[in-house]
Amino acid sequence: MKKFIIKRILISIPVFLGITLLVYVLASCAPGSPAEMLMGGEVNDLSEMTPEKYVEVEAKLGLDQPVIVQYGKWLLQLLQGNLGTSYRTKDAVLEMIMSRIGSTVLLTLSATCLSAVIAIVLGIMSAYKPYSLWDYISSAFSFIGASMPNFFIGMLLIYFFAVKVKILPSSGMYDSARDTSLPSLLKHMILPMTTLCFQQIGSILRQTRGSMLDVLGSDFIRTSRAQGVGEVLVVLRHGLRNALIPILTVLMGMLPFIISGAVITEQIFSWPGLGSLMVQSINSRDYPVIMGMTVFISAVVLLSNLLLDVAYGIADPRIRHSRNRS
Amino acid sequence: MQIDTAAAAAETKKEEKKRSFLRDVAERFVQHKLAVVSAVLLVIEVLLIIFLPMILKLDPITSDFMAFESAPGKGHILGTDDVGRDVFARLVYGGRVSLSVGFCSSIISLLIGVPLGLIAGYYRGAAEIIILRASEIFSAIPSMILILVVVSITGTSIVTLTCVMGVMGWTGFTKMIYGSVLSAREKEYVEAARAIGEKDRSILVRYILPNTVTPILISFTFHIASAILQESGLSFLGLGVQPPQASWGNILNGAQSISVLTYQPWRWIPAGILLLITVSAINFVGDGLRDALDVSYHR
Repeated sequence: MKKFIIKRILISIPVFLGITLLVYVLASCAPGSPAEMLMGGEVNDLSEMTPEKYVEVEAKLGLDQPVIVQYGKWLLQLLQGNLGTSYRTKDAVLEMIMSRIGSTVLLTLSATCLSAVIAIVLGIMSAYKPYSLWDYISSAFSFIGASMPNFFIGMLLIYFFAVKVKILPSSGMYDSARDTSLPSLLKHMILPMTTLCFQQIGSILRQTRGSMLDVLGSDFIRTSRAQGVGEVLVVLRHGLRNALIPILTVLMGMLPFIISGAVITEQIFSWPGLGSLMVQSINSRDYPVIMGMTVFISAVVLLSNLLLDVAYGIADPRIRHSRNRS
Repeated sequence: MQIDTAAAAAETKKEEKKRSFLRDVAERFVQHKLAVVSAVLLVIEVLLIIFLPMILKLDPITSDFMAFESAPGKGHILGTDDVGRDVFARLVYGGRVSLSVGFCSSIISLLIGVPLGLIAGYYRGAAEIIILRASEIFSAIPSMILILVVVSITGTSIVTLTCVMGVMGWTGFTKMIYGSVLSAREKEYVEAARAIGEKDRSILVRYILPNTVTPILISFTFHIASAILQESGLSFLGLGVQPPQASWGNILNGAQSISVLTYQPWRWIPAGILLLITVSAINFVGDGLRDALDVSYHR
């Protein structure tokens, strides 16, 4: 077991280095060198940057050395939490991320939980009576949900629920800066959350249906039915429990996809999260923020994959062994 | 004599089998009603997008100074946008852009992803490790963000956008091909080919690649659908295809304000519906192909 965990961590290290290298290469292609992106913290204004000052700071950060060494120093700064300083606001990138991450996590996590619940219920119902009318309706629905551009869903929702029937707000997180009450927050969350759900339900539903179909067709289900176990218990306790691992895998594998979706959704609903920060930064070509966020988000994805793999290894020895071999 | 008839019988049986596989596929595809309807719709759509500009005089770029933000009616079937461009013409030309960006970028992803998957699965060793790690690197960065970052550096002409999306989309194909090569390379006929001294490249191309054609075709179809969605998302954010060039995504980009949403539905609903129909049609065709081609699924 310990060997498996250590091996998984060791595999993740080169992948993380690869991500930083990729971002570093991209940052070097962007206007303004990675050095300048880090230097923002040393001087208040880049225009104050005299050539002497530049050389001084460069030497301090070790950026007058060969590229490999530079990359190393940059990486070292990254690992210490110095993701650079925004060109636009002069704030530290890490602080900007931290001030925004809460609202993104809140929105995406609640949307994912909601879609998982809906999709698993629908999926079980589909698998229980496959090829019934209900099955067709729910699979057509999941296909269309997955085919619908999320900004179009968002715009339709705004059109119906914020413009035609004025019951829900179309943007922001609270009614006003002073009113940070829970009801206000919930009211603002409904539309963006629904938008994200539309996108996510499809693939979870299909996975649930598939793995439930497999499990419900197996012998031990027939046995428990023959023993007179009630249908609800058969489906939920014996069926769902065994179908859950592949469903969870799909759910976790969706993380990058969910983040991508959040970028657009936050933009439509002016949700003050990481996604809208990303779009703002790209529009103003604020490269330190862009690069810092990219490294940060990918590290989060990588870490969550790692944790998931380890958790599986603990839960299911078969996985541990098959992955050890490969 | 006896042997002859037996051989002939075997021969005809073989013939039958060959013919009936394709017929089987076609029959199973036809059973998927939604997929058939979708395929017909897509063909009509592509024909319209190609030939309409030749039949009608459509101008998606020039402003009509007599009609800014005018409602659908005479002269402009679907009205005009904020700078007086004809929305219908923009939909048709936008369709050309959206569909071709989606298709071409998927081809690029395929051309990068398939060889890498073949190499990783067949040669194993260092190549395998490097390629798989690289694909992990690329899939840990959410695609939308990676593409946004690259596009912010390279610029957003249609050609660059297509290339960036294509290059960034290779991992799906690689992982899939890798998986099927791993199982194919252990088959007896591959071993036999190796034993009679076939070269690696010819084993890959003649014995292993044909095994992967079915999954490639299916995931290529789904990839096109998601590439179209991706391009439309980028253009919606204003970071994809730039006006005056039209794409379905950037038509919606111009309609984000509440007043346009409310009072000028012709500026965003048709483009959104076209996107929805096209992408779901492609997905349904992919689903039909999966049902029709995936033999194991039906056994």
